[in-house]
Amino acid sequence: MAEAQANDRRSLEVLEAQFDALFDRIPGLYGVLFSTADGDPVSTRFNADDMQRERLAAMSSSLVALGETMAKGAHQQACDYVIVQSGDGYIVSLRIGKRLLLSAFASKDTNLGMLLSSCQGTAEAISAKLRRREASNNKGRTGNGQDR
Amino acid sequence: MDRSRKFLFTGPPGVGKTTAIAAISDIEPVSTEMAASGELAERKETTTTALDFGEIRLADGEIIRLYGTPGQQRFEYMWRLLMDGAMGLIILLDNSRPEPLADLDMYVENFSDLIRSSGAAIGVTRTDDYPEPDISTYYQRLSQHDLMLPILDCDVRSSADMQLLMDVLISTLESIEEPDTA
Repeated sequence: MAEAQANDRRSLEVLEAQFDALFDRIPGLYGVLFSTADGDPVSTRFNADDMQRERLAAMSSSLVALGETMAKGAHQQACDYVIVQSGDGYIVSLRIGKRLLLSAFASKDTNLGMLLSSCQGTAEAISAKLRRREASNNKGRTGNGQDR
Repeated sequence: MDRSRKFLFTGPPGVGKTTAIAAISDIEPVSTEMAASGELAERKETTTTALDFGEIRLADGEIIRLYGTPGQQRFEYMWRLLMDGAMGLIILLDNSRPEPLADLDMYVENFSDLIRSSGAAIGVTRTDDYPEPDISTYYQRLSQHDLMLPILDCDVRSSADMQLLMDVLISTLESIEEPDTA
């Protein structure tokens, strides 16, 4: 139990380490949400108090699931992003590996290309770090098992 | 003239809504599955987070469109979206869950508008291994909501069971549409 909690905490640190980088890189960004693939919020940084993290996390999951299903139904390759564009700005949701999602909320003066590339880069960086961490944990467990 | 009717399947996560629709759909069903997390991940690998969709094509050309909701209450906005235009509801309940009667309460309350404006039928799963609560207990619980709805034991993997549940729902709706005036 303690080991699982420590792993969760370290994974959270990996996610939250990306907040500053994203906000620094993307002028106009006003929210970042990390959530589980099935729609539970994991960590958020919102510049507005009235953004509902639970609802937005669930909606991100629905959007990505629908985007992937729609791409498949249209015989397209895997869905890379779901982009919502409104008169006020952009929302981008994408996967971080199999089990997590990243959603970014940005105002209309944001460069969409910059937003997409930064989100993609962040998702890949987090994914690589979590994979390395998981491999390291597995190695540690195997090593402990051999010691016994 | 639109020759289609829309029916909705709902119920708790893991009850088998996706499987139920696949069991009776005449087309390859559409599903929106994502990796499950938390306690649910111990029971199943994926869960629906947007909708399920399937169709039954009747001999007279009518199409029955089947929509499944996500189970978790955090997807309540999808419930509202999917309820629009629905002509009936099937609630699937899982007797192996810790509090199936509380599940009944939650879905009946959240889908109250649809239930009262059209109708609903209830299917209870996994009753072989988990016989309690029995069907009469479910009827008693429904009566506390001032509702009388058909309730059946069912196996969501069985197309016969799911077809029976659909037939019961449609018969109920027809009874409401054509009340006995005698």
